[in-house]
Amino acid sequence: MKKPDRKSVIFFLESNAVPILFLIIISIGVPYSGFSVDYLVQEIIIRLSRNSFLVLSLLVPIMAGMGLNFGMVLGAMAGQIGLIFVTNWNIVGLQGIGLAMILSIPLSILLGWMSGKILNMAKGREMVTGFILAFFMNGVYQLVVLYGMGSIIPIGNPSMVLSRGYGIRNTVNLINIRQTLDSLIPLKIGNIQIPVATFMVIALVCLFIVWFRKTKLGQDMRAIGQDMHVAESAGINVERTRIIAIIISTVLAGFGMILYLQNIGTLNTYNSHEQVGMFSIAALLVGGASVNKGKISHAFLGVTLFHLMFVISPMAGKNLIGQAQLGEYFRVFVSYGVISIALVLYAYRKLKEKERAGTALAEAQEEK
Amino acid sequence: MKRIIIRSAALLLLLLLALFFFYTGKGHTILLDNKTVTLGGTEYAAVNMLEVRVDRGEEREVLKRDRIKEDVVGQGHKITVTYLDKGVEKVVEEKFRIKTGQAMYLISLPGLIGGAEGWIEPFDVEP
Repeated sequence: MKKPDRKSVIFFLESNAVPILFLIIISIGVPYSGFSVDYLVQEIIIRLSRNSFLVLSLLVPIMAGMGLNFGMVLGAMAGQIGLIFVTNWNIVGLQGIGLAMILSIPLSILLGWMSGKILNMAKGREMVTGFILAFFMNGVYQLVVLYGMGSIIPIGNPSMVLSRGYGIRNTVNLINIRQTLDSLIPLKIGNIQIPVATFMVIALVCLFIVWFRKTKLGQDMRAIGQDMHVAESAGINVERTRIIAIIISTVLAGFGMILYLQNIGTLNTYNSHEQVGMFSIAALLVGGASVNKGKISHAFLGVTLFHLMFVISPMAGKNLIGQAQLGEYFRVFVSYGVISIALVLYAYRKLKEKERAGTALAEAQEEK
Repeated sequence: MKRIIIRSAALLLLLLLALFFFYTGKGHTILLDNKTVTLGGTEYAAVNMLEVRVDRGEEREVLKRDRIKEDVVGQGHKITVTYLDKGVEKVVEEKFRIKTGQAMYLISLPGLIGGAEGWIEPFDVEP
């Protein structure tokens, strides 16, 4: 059997099935939505600045062969706790964002270390373990924020505390830091506003990822991602390296959540973090990444395609069948659907590769 | 040993940065009050109309018996008050520092113009 030609059309389609599917959906949806090009471009720029950091935080664990880090929600929780403290202390502007990030670091490291330890006990089942871990930690987060804050942890700002005297309200107004980074370096091209400073921060993360891949630790992670047993035989401390990968991802997810929320301007204390993991993973997969392959370009393409669909689907749904709610259902359905498709495709490809390797081995033995 | 030093230095830097953010980013509320007030046994009468600017903020008008709110960030500030005294425009400029732990301060504008001692004082809202 011949090895598949990487340049062949079939192989290309097979490798990029999800982005192509999305391109088709979007190219049908855009004319039905009736939105102007200016509006769509502006929306995409806002969403790229809002979500890219979170999506980029997923790349390091993929590099280490740990798949899609559903545990990034833990980092998002750490970021939110940082923001709750910053709002409580009334820290304003960029300093507020910076302090929230610093406060999130120890929490993210602790949660990431714990997550890494658990994932090391569940090798090969990291994604489902991370998913369930996120649910578990959500319970702990709610316990701390709903019962611990205001009672054990002092919260001096009465507007943040529930009327019973403890627990944080459902919504925290982030007016002190709202779009501070986005509006730091204002740039307007035509009718389109570009949050330059936020993109500069995102560029820094991209540079960090590119640099990190070249470091000894990055190379170790890639070796583990290719074959854990071979890496171990080569003297790489696999478990430690995997824990570091998850810690980096969790810390970046915490920063990403802070950037995300500074753009939104409101923190839904008990909900904001819940779907962040799902939507970020879906966006990365839409960009063409898979469980064992993720590039920076996948993150940007994914955010663009996924959120373009988010923007157009309610209006397209309304114009097509008269109900905007269809679009709402559609986007949740697509988020879960795309993750399922990507996982099925990954399993299918893995099976095919095994078949190919088996056939190649059999042919080689016959030749001998 | 080298590793410990580097890690300790990074931790220290992070702590210093956090403190810097905390002190320079802390928001405070200042109440600008234009009411007749007695400070140190002397009465300072309210002025018909004042123009007040705090730091580089916008200039705001404060009418007689008015009290307006101004949000400031950090500890060191400058207040500029412009008013008419017998038809002549006068400008009073004062620098002041506020404590990080105090959320709100009250500035008596007539007291400030008159050169009173306690023209700025902490202000606490009853819970």
